[in-house]
Amino acid sequence: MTEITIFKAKKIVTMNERQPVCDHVAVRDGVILGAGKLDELTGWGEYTLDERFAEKVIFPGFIEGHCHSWEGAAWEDTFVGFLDRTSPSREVHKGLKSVDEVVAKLVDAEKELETSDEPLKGWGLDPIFFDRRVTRTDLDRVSTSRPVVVVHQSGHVINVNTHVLEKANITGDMDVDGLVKDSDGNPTGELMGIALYQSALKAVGMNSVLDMGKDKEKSLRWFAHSAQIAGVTTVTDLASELKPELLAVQADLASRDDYPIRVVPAFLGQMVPTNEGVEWITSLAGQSTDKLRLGLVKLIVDGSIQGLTARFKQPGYYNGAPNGMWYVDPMELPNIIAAYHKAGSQIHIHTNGDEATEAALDAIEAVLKQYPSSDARFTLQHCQMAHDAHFRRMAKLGVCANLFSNHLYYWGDQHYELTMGPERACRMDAANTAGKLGVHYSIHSDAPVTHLSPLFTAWCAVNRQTQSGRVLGENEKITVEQALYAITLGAAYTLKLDTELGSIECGKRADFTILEDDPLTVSPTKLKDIEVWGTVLGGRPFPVSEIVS
Amino acid sequence: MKFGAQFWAGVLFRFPRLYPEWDIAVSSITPAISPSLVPVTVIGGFLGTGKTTLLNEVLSSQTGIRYAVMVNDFGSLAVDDALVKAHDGDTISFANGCVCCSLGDNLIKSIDALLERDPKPEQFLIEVSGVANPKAIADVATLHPGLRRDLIITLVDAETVMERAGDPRLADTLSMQLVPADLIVLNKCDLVGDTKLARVCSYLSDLYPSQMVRTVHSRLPVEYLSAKVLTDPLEPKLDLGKSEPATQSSHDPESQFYRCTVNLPDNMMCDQLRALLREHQSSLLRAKGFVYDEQGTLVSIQLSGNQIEVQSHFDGAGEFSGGSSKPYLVAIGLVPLDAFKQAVLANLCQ
Ligand SMILES: [Zn+2]
Ligand SMILES: [Zn+2]
Repeated sequence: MTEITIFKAKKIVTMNERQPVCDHVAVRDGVILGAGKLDELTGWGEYTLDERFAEKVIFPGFIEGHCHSWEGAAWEDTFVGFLDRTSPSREVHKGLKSVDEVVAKLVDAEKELETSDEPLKGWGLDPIFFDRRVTRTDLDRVSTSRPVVVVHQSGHVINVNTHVLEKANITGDMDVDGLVKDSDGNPTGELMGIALYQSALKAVGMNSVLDMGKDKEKSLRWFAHSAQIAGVTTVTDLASELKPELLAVQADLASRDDYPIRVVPAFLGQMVPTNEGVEWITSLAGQSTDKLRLGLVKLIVDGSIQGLTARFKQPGYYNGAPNGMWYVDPMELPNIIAAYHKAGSQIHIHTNGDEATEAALDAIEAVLKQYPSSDARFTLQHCQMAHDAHFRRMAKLGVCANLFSNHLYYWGDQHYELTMGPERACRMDAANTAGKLGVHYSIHSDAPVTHLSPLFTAWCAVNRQTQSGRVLGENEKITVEQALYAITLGAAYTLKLDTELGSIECGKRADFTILEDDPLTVSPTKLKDIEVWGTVLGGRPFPVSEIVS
Repeated sequence: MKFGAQFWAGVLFRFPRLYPEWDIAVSSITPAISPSLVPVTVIGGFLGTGKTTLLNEVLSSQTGIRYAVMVNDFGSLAVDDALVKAHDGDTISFANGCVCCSLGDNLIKSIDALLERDPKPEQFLIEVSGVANPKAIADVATLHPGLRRDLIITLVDAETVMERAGDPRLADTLSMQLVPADLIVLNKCDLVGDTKLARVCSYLSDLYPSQMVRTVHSRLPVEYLSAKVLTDPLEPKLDLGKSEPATQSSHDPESQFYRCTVNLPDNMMCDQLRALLREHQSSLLRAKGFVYDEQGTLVSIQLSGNQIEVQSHFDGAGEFSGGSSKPYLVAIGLVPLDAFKQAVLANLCQ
């Protein structure tokens, strides 16, 4: 007989409509026996009453429906982003508000390096917020003798120092796309696009921007810490090549009791010929474990809005930029979707611009006509610029949305002023419309693109406030209840995990988020500031305070 | 397909599925030692335009050249391993679509792996997906210390190109494939009638200054995979598709663009042409051609948007000895180009 623990809380918010709130939850073998009053739970048998949460609020474990395990690896390098960010070791990194502050932080980081030639790498640079671009002269102040590389927030652009340009033999007279030059025709050190930045990284012996770091296990532990700190118990890793060596480390960690998260990796279906991808994902089908769920497939249709690479229908970008790029031929998309769909995979599709969203819906509709399915639960990831008509179609097709609400705060002002213009910026990530029109939706961070914190994401969806304080679309605000549903049961639904996760009721996994305050009673503007005590995963408490770096 | 016995000396290694993501065929034939940079030709165009057929055609043509074939597009047709093997070559499949970050990384790693082979490939043929920018892939060659960019070849399906051009989702992607192309291969010409073929030809030549050849079943002579043949504008347009030559030179009354071909004066240097193009930029949509640089090497020059690019396709001027190549320029104008043409002919650089 295994032991029963009954947790007592100040308040338990269950997401179970029949009993929205209670104060005790009984757990055995990682599974919830029941939630309710204490005397409704004692009938399960002998128990231990655990009162450590007596003054805390318990939620179903938060689910981050779109983030990436690079969140962990990123912290091997120096963070130079514009907004404050908490590291997996709970260190708060202040946002850097000017190029000089960026350089100063890199100078400090350079002093920490052990050998004289080891490269220095920064990440999270977002010059869209600065009055000028970063140049090699800036980075030469950090070092002239070792490679200095700073990856932009977009992941598609880097800045390098003169040392790297020389090693890679990149000169102003080269005719390659994306080489930014000064008025004298010399490279400024800003390198856009794959050919340039991959060649530069290679020349100084550095790995790809998306590399999982030297120590995969450490990176994946850090990833878990980032989640735990934010009160998250289930994370997606939403574009993984699922290479055997990484998968092995992931599976090993997931088998350990002290690993505090469930991970749902999505196989990036475009990385290999479709037939091979189908073969691979099918071969993994039986290998899911309690904390590692395989089988999800991700496809990427277009780029990003702030990177001006998302695909838009007319009238296109507000600032007149040319249309973005397809990551997959829209004519081919139905074939790729059909192949994975037929194999039984659930498919999540990245679409940012409205043209990409429409192409994905056209493809899904065609596939479902040919291979009908009562519950394929396709999910459009980001789906930032969907029109009402798209949401209506999604509802009919049973397609979910996972909206990128953090964008509203991070780049909302840029969308209003540069990329989308006022009207469209005010209907970005239209959670209210999605819900009203009957679309199941969640909201996400896309960490490390923005920081991982479902309470912050909920705050964004509820307040729709930009950095400058502008409100983007009063009508698209959702209520706190709706936002909290979106980061629990809503997200579970998009992952087809709603039978197991997302609410606190008999038979579900004992995954909880433990909060110091009640999101339903604090001011909605304070949602993001609620302190997270930690989590409970399968009945085992994971206090944030015990995280060691 | 039949091959001489010596071609079968290669051994096909099939790596474990997926990782690393390629099939490699290696040969045991005597290495040809060449210190020079390995040329890279990038083959673009939508899925279904005949890229893979073209590769298979080239590989079955018994040239004796050791090709390394890299494929970034996966249609129903696969590059024939046996053909690759026959050429002592290597074939690599890389990412579908264009997930750019990983694509670049995989691409460079794959190229490096191939260059380390002994004997190393004599030419890279990289087939890219329709949504990948062939110029971005060619840039990888420009930047690589062991490679030189040779050609960008874009295949166009004569049957469907007008549909693509009229599809707001794909028109700009088509243009992205065609603008940087050094050679446009108008394929599947047998599937359209003469009237439509003429219309397609004049549509393409009115918009794009690149040389164009017409083919059926992707039957492109191997010489066309290297820049050498493109340096002679006077050579009659290769027409491997139909006996009727297309009316490429005639100006389509419907078109709002003007095309002109100029044989450059012998004394015209690259910098002078560059200055002329700058000067007349506002009346030009695009221009493309070959001109001598200060070292006397024929280089290609291209104007598109407000960018002028000069590419050296050759290891040295030696490649041209005995060739009939002449410097020339093809320009597409937004207005009639008589003034521009006169200025070029007189080498009137102000
Ligand atoms: Zn993502
Ligand atoms: Zn990318």
